[in-house]
Amino acid sequence: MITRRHILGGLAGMALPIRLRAGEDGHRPIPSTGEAIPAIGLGSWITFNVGNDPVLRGRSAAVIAAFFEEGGGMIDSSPMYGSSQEVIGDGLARLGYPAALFSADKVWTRAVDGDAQIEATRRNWGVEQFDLLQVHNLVAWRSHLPRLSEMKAAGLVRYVGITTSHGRRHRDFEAVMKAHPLDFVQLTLNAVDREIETRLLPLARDRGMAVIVNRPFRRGALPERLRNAPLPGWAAEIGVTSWAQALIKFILAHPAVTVAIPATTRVDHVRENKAAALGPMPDAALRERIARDVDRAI
Amino acid sequence: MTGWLDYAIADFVPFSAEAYWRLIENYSREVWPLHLAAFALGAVAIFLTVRPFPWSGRAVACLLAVVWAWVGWRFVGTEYAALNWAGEGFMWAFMVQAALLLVFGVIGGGLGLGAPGPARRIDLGLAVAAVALYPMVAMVSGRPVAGAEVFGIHPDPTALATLGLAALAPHGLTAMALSIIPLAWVAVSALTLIALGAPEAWVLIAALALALGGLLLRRPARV
Ligand SMILES: NC(=O)c1ccc[n+]([C@@H]2O[C@H](COP(=O)([O-])OP(=O)(O)OC[C@H]3O[C@@H](n4cnc5c(N)ncnc54)[C@H](OP(=O)(O)O)[C@@H]3O)[C@@H](O)[C@H]2O)c1
Repeated sequence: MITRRHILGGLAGMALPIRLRAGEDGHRPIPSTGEAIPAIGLGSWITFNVGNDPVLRGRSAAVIAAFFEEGGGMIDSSPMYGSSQEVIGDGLARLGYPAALFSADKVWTRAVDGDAQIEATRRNWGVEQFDLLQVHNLVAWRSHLPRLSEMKAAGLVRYVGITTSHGRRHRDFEAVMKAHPLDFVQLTLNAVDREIETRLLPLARDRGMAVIVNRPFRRGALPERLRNAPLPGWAAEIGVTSWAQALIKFILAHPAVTVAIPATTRVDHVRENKAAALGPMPDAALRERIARDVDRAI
Repeated sequence: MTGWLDYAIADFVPFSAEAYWRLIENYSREVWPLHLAAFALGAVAIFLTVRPFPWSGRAVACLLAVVWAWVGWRFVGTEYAALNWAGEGFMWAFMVQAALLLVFGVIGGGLGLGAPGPARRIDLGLAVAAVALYPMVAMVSGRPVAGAEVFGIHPDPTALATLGLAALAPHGLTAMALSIIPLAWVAVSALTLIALGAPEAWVLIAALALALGGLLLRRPARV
């Protein structure tokens, strides 16, 4: 298991040609309020959709428990993710709903069903209200976004955002970002899928929007393909001991990124991912090199 | 199977192979020993098709209607729907199929044995394989016995057997009408298995090709 102490200890006394960006505690501020949240959250697409299987529910609860042992933060789900919301609710209930939870879910339905879906989602989680509600994949956003803004004004949700994971939606996404005062945007970024770096990430910075990065591992395909590739020399410089951690640091090193939300079924992976938010971050040049090395190795 | 196809389909499959196969196994353990009754029903349906009595066509259609309603409610609507938001919609499709079987079975005169020829051999072969051989697919794929998918219990062999028997209906319209939902389900299931990286997908694709072949080759039966 990689702990923060290992990383910081390993780095002590090293002359580092790199910039420290994430605070040592791995938190990032939400631009619209300045509230700090852990830079590594937890996704739930597929990984927590285990139905009523008691064995897999126990495993999911163990992952959630480990996530909070490592500082907690954002858990992201959606009504699209089958039983994931209930499984998260189950895991949180076992822990007595830790204070370090930043609950993030989505609305993903026709305009008329929005309120009912948000209420069903809330009951599945067992929370009083959400920290963040997002319009999933911009579905019916013209109706959902005003609804979420009204909820925020009424104190029923703290932050509002939109999500996508498709390049083909980036134009619409950009238009919504320009026209609406969003707290959060959720997009795909990883060492291979970098389209958002050209326009959307700079725009998020300009507009003071927090950025959630989904698919940081390209649904697991990147660590899988890199499994047998040796870690290059720069790994020690940024204090990573696996490709997964390098992939996370690549993401967190972008100055516009607030939080990455890798999903996992494994306790060791959640700890490994959490540890990647600590310590030094690659500078712009090393970030490019990581992308090149990943590209070459996969 | 890591091409663009499974990457694109993966957007629509919200569960892992592990969760899916475990769901099938857990459900099988819950409803056991209904498998034996379901298998017997499958065998009866095939027997009545091959050695028909005057009422066989109707009986086979009604028997299939009951099976579709049961699998739709118990597996698709109750178990599978926990993993897939689309599950409830699929359940209704199963209910519509049950209703169609009843309508065509009771009012329309039911199923039959088709005309002699290659189409009949393909259709009967498909039905027999779905009932008698499909349960082995799990074991051949290295899954436990509890993962065996059985006609009348699980949707894939149910849909495949129905495709075989429906294509033997005396009227082309009946055969077509009763094949649409099973064809769609088998296609959805095959795509799902491709996204899950499960080689079982190829069994479904091969069966789908056979079923389509059987439908295209069919000639009007002497009623
Ligand atoms: N439009 C949207 O709103 C949208 C779209 C896509 C995703 N999302 C959100 O973003 C989250 C993340 O995206 P994703 O789940 O699609 O993909 P991802 O996080 O890129 O990849 C998840 C996969 O990575 C593997 N993994 C995790 N940590 C690892 C490690 N340390 N080493 C090796 N492998 C590791 C996991 O396998 P193991 O289980 O073996 O660890 C899992 O299969 C989603 O869960 C969802 O919450 C939102």
